[in-house]
Amino acid sequence: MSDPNRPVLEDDLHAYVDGRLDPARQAEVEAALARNPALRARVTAWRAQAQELREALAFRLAEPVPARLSLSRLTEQRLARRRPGWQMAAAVVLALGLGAAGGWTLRGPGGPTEIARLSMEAASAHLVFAEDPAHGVEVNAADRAVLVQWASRTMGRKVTLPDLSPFGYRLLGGRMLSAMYGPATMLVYADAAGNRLTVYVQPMKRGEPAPMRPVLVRSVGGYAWIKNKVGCSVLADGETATLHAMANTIRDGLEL
Amino acid sequence: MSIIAEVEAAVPALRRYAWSLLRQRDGADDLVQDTLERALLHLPRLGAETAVRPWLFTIMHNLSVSRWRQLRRRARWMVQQEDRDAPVPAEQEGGLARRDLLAGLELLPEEQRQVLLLVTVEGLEYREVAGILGVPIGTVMSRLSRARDRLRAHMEGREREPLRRVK
Repeated sequence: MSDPNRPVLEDDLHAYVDGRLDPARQAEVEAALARNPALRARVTAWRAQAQELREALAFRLAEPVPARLSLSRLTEQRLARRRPGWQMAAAVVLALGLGAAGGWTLRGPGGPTEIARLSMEAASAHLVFAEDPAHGVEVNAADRAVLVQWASRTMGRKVTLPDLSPFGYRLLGGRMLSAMYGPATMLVYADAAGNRLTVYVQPMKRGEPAPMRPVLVRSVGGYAWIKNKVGCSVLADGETATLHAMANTIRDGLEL
Repeated sequence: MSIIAEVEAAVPALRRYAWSLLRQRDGADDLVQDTLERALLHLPRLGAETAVRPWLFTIMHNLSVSRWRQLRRRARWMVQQEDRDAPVPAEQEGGLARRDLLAGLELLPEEQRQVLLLVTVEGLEYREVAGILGVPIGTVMSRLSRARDRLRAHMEGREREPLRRVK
């Protein structure tokens, strides 16, 4: 409620200059200005300077926008940058899949080969799904029970979902994926700024333990390892200071 | 208006703000381009109730915080080397006073200049400016007061100066 006796504050003067007062308060401020010439001079100068600033910078607004700032162009560039990445990743996964089917699969020292494949599949899944708002998450975090059920079925035992809230990441949801030797589960997390992080788990066929190693596929980076016959990777876009710590926490705590 | 159209409509204002802060055209457009690229990346996750213009200014502010000093240093250096962007076309009416106004603007501490520009030129609400800069609204108001008084003193000093010289 407006009170005519309420003193005029500095904030009111600004709101007056910027046209943000309701009519009643505006009248009160005008009355106060009429009584106080020094105050009036100050406010008049502020108002004039605001008008002059707008005029002085108006020519920037009127300029044609350069082509490199055209949104349609930036969108195209963005798609062009992304597409080859995951198509290539998918192609590599496919090639590995065909190799397996052809029976000349990478038998050698199983560990490195398995972890390489795991890394590529996880990175491919991240590139395809993590940023996709419509289909990235098949089951959202509200249906935590379903996610737990899925992950448990994938792992063949009861699991709990990693809690990354100490690192500022909350669970958005997850999806089932088919990987070379069977189902995989991907969980999608996001921090306050919306940056995505995915945790990808899959039972491994050979499952020779492999120590944690870095993964880098285009813009996606993180860590992968194989422990207790379960392959796991933690990936994010770009640099994340706490990613290694998160990967360690998940590996060491690994209920998943 | 679709969100993408709102973003597009805000581009001239983003350029104006970036330029007002950096006073160097290529650096300003680089900053705008980075802002738009980041906006496109996050656009799909934008809540329907988000006000697009303040959101874009927030992205630009956050991006600039890390790059700002470097850009400004480079901008200053380039200005000394070459010619700084003319504040206004020379033939424009009132060009001299405006040049002086923009010079006064540049003398303000950066945090005051940001607030003054966002409020007066970009027409954003005080609480929006507080959100963009990540400071309490009281801080916005006190910076606004200091900016306005300083710029006033600058402009009035300029008017008085010739008189003093006559004496």
